[in-house]
Formats: sequence, structure tokens, C-alpha cells
Amino acid sequence: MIKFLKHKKFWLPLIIITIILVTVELLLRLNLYNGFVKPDSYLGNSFERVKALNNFGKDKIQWITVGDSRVDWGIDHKKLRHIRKENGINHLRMSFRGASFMAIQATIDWSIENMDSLEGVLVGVSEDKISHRHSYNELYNIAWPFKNYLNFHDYNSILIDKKQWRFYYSLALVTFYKDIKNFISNPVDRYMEIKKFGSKETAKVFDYKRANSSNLCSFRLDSIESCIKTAEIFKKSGQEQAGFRLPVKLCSTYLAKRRSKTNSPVAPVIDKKSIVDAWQHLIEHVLNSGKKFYLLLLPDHEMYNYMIKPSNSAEITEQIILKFQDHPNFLLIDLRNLIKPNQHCKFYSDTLHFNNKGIDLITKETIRFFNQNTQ
Amino acid sequence: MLFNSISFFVFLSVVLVCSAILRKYSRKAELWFLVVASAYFYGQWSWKYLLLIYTTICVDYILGLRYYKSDNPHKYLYISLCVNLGILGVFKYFNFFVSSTNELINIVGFDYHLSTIEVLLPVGISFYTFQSLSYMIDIHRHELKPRKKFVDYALFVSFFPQLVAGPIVRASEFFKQLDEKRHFSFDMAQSGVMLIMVGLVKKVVFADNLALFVDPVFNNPESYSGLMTLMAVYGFAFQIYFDFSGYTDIAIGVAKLLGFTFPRNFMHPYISLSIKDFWRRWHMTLSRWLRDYLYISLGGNRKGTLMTARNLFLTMFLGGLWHGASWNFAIWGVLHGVYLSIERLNSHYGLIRLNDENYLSKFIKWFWVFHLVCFAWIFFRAVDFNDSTIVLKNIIFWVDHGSLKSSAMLYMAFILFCPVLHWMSSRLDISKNAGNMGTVQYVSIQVVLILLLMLFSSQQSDSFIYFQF
Repeated sequence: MIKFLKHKKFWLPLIIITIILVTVELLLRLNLYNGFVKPDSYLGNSFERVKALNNFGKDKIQWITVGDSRVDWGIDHKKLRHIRKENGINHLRMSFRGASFMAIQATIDWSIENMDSLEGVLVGVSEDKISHRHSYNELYNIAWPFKNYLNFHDYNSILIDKKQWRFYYSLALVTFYKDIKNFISNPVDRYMEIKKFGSKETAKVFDYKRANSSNLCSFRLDSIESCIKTAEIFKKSGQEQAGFRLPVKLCSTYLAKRRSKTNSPVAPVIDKKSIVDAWQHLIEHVLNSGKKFYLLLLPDHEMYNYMIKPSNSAEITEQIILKFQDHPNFLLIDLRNLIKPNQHCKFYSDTLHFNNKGIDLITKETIRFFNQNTQ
Repeated sequence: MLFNSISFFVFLSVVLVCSAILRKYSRKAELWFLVVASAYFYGQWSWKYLLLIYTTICVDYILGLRYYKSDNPHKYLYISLCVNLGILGVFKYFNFFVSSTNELINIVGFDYHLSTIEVLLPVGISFYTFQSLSYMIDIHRHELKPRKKFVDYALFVSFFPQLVAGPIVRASEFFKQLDEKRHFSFDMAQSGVMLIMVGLVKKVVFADNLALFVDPVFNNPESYSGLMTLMAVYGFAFQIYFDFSGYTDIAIGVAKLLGFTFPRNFMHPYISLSIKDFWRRWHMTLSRWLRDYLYISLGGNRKGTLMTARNLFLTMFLGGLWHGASWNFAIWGVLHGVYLSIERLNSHYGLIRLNDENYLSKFIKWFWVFHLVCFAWIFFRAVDFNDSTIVLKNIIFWVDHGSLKSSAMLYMAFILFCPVLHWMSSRLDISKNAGNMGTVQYVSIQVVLILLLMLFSSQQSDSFIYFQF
């Protein structure tokens, strides 16, 4: 066995595979595969946005909206863009579904560096998103085009941020692996998809609106007991996966049943400081660059708050804001209490995302704040 | 612990290193270590079933020794048969016979129901029971002396590479390797590593990807067209081949790395030109077991053509039931029994003869045999008899369910390519030649296999199909 392990028949395949992998890594880094990426994916979304930015002209952009799916799907970007355009401002959508602090920071820093006329950023997040920990796993896909602007000092709140993992996830092979596999398994579908998305107009990329007219009013989610019952109904009907986010999934686990007995809150974030420092560092960087920072705090569904949000999220958020509340270029658009808890069901399509009614309300309020502050 | 899991390869690495170290100092210690490692491997499914397998091991070990010393040894064989078949009967067939009896009672019109028992089928029970039975029968036939060392016998029955899904090793083959000084040649390591890689590709790349097309069709046949159903039947023929032969390749490869040689279990069955030839190439160690311990015991071919046909039919019927306690498996076995009997009668009476030298007649034979085998697979794979009839109805009446998705067309193209792939692999015959390949050929194949694993491995890898038997 030892003789075989020393023989070239054992190690030559490994060397050849390593050479192939290194070559592919280089080709990926030379952007040779970008045109084949699945358009409707984290990676594809980011490439599509950068391409649209280049077509639009990066130097013509004054404002950008950054955030996760709650903002990406939760604002009527077309309406916001048109109203802002009336004041001579090009305000474009740079929010990405799945984004978290890492992707948000990289997008903002990249934009500051690449958009010469940039005046400000509108960052839409919820308290939960501010305090939530995420892994590199999916975030690298969103942040890939902006990877040179990743600021690893600010990611101490990411649990697996150890240097070796950082190196692993920063490999193009790791980021593109699933996409390449998916492409190879069905190149025909990929070709059709690329063709369909490729013909999209630049304006449409920025004006994306996820229309959803459904609401949650037929489901009782006002208590953990009712959430458990709702989860059981969904489970029996086999629909619990579709469009119905985490809380109901969580309510179908034993944890929910235990929670209904003990009523103990979600554990607080222990390392508050690293989260506060990271956000403050980001905001400082924007303000120090002479840009405006508008923080749009979105309302969370009450069951989402109850089941997911760390109990000290509000405290963390307040600590971040406190430092900048008197800064002339910092503005808080606080919509946290915009919707009364007993009205939540009318404004959400699931416990995470807004429906059409929610989108209209959030957009209206955001525009109102902008109008007030540009006069 | 599945062969296609990371945990298995961690386990295997530990076993290889420890057994190599122990082997240097004490052969006996190495064997005990392998017994313990095998128990750990089996215990990963359920520690409770270790009790069951060790009951089988202890009973047959003691009965084997008693048999050899007794003046009236037959009773020990009968006890062994009762214990082994009793355990198999209770755990695998009891509920099947009870529910079948209940259905019969219902048909007759009585209002009476026998109650079933709540047991889970222990993994690999059919495989290790057959191995243990063969030991006692070989002693009874004076072809084998009982093993004095418990560790030897325990390892023979529970050796982890072949414990859950074969190959079914004969006691004499295994003990011979224990008696001789096992040597670890370069060729064995080379061949072992290659077989493990080939097995992994067969399972994770081919079988698991085919399952993505085949499973939905067989789980819900009424929703699919005749074309999709036909392709799913062809697809299943190759899925089960890749799945089971992949498992066997890994098992043989792992055994080679530990210095053991297992018999071959597959030899490109879908190039067969007759059903007899198919059974010489498909699950060869089961065919050998059924021939040696069932078919020959029933009289084999010694009592005329009709009796031979009967014996073939009975052997295959029981062989079908060996796979699972369901009438589907019985029908599959009966079909193969009928095929073999008709083939036997045809060769005896010379009813239809085709020239083997002619390429066209060779192709007709291959086409005919492949479709007979696929027809039988329908009953093997379908959830129940009713679903088998829906599958057949879809194909015969060429039911149409609208347009095809591009992914379905790609799968179909791959399924249609499978016979070519199978033929090409029969020319290369890696199982036979893995140990003596030149550097360029060996390295090229390894690189291709690694790339296939990286690029085409299915994200939904399942357990091996034959684990349920």
C-alpha cells in the first residue's frame, strides 16, 4: 500500500486534477465564465446588476438603495426612481436578495469607489438583519463582483470567520462550483434562461418589482400556539415550504412546542460590540467620504420577531444609531412601528416579505422622507 | 454508514492504518480488530441488530463444531436451518405472509384478521444469513471443516465490506485467505483504489442521477407519458445496475486494500445474448449460491428437461422472494424462472435457433434479452402490482401527456447512451484489468473519474437499492 501511495499512479492523478483546478480558478477570475452564470441566482443577480450599471453609466448615479430581499422586493424601485428623477437624481436599486452585512458593506464600498457622482446611500434593513449572523457560504455569491471591497475586519460577527475559511470561500471555484455543475447538468435550460434575461432592458433591471397580492390573514399567527396550529395545517397540506418563511417552519418543530410552554425569549447576541463596531465603521466610512447615509429601518412581522429576532436586537440598533443621530448627513427613516401588530397580516405575503399593499406603504413612507429632506 | 459518505471514508482510513499496524505485530489482533470495526460499521444502522447478527454467528459457529464431532450430525444442520431461516422468516417474511393470508381470508369471505408484528428489517439480513447457511451446508457436504477460531467465523459473516449487500462469499474462499499468509501487492492497492473510484462514480454520478428521472415516474406512473415511462424502465435497468455493481466495486476495492479478494459479482450483464448468460453476469455470487444450495438440492438438471425447467422456475421464484417480501419480487423471480425454463426447453427441442456468428442475429438476441429483463424490472421496481399495470398500460397504449421538458430530453438521451457506455466498459473491463493497467491508462481513467465525481455527482445521493434486501 505504501509503495502504491508513493507511486506516480497514485499522485499523478491528484497533481493533474490540481493543475486543472488552478487553471479553472484563473479562468473564472478572468471573468471568462460570467456570461454563462445562471441569471436568476445570487451570483447572476450581481453580475446582471453590474452589467446594467455599466450600461447606465456609473458616473451618472447619485443615490443607491442597498439591502436584502425585504428591501429588494419590498420597495417599488421604479416609483422611487421616477420621483427622485423629478429632482434630477438618479436613484438606483443596488439591493440583493439574501444580502447581509458583508454583501451590504462590499456593495456600498464598491459603489463609493466606482460611482463618481454618488451623493448618498439608502440602506434598508430590519433590526433582525442588523444583529443577525451569517456565513460566507451564500454571501460570497452576492458579493463576488465587489469582492475587492470586502472589509474582513468588520466580519467578526460572522461565526465562521476564521482565516482558513475566508481563504476557502474566496476561491472562485467554491463560489462558482454549484453554478457550473448546474450548467453542465442542463446546458439547454441555461441557454434559454440566459437568452431570456439577456434581452432585459437596463431600466427594467433597476425597476424590478416582485408583485405579490397574497396576504396572511387566513392564518392565525398572533401567538406561538396559533403558529403551531398554522404550521400543522401547512404541513398536512404539503405547502409549508412554498412562500411561507421560517417562523412557520420553526413552529412545526419541537422547539416551538417547548417555547409555547416556557415562553422564553430568543437568546440575545452575546458579542454585541463586534456588530455595533462593524455597522458604525461602515456608516462612518460613508459619512467620511462625504456621502449621505439614510438608514431605513423596516418593520418585522410579529411572529418573525418572536421566533427569530435576538432579544437584544433593538438595543444593538439603538447603540449603532446613537453615535450618528446628530450628524447632518445621517438620517433615520424609522418605519419599525409603521404597521400595528394586529394589522401585520394585511401587509405581508409571508412572515418575511411584504405584499403589494406592504410595498406601496413602505415606498410611500420612504418617498415622504426623501421629499421632506430634500426641501 | 454508507459507502458514498464522508464518514465511511474516515472510518476506512482509520481501519486501514490500524489494521496495517496490527498486522505487523499480530495477525490475530488484526482479525479481532476487523471484527470490532465491522461491528461498529453495522452498529451505525442500529446497535440492536448487532444482537441478531451475533446470534446467527454464535449459533452457526457452535453448531458447526458440534456437527463435526457428533455421531448424529444431521440434527445440527436442521437446527441451523431452523434458526437462520426462522430469524429471516420472522424479520423479513412474517408480516408479508400474514397480510397475504389476510387478503386470502378476505377473498374467501371470512371476517377474520391475523395481526402483524412491528419489526424493522435488519440491513443485510438476507446476505449474512445466506453466508452463514452456506457454511453449515458446506460442512454437511464435507466440503469444509468447521472453523475452530471464533474470530475467523465472526469475521467471515460480519466482515464490513460485504456485510450489508454482498458479494456473497463462500466460506471456503474466505477461510483459505485467512489460512494463507495474505500478501499486499502493489497490484492489489492499485486495483482496490481504482475499483473504489469506479464504484463511487457508478453510484453517485450514474445511479443517483438516473434516480432523479426514474423515481418520479415509478412513484406516480399515471402522470407520465408512454415515452417517459418506457425511458424510465430502461433507466431503472441501468440505475439498479450502476447502483448495485457500484456498491460491489467499492466492497471489492475496500477488501483488496485490506488484503482480501472477493469474487466478482457483475460482468456487464446487459451485453448478454441469453437469460442464462444474463444470470452468469448479474449478481453472480447470488446466482452461484442459488445454483449450489438450491437448484442442485432440488435435483438440478439430473432428472430430465421438464424437471430441470421446474427446478429453474422454483429456484428463481425463491430467488425473487429472497430480494424482498412482496409479490412484486416474486413475480420478477417467476418471470426469470419462466424465461430460463423456456430457454432450456428451446435449447433442448431446438425450436428457435439464431446464428451466433451473424451480427444481425446477435443484435436481435441482445435486443430480445434486454427487453425481457427490462419487462421483469417493471415488477421489481413498481410500488405495487397495480402500478406495474399502469406502467405497462402507459407503454402499450403509448399514453401522451404533452410536451417534454429539456431536462427530461437530456435524461432520455443519456439513458439511450447507457447501452453504448455499458458495451464500452465491457471492452475495458476495469474490474478485471484494474490491477495491471499501464501508468498512462490508469492515470487517465482516474482523472476522468475524479472529474466526473466533481462535476456530475448528484446532490441527492440515496442509500444503495440492495441495502433493503
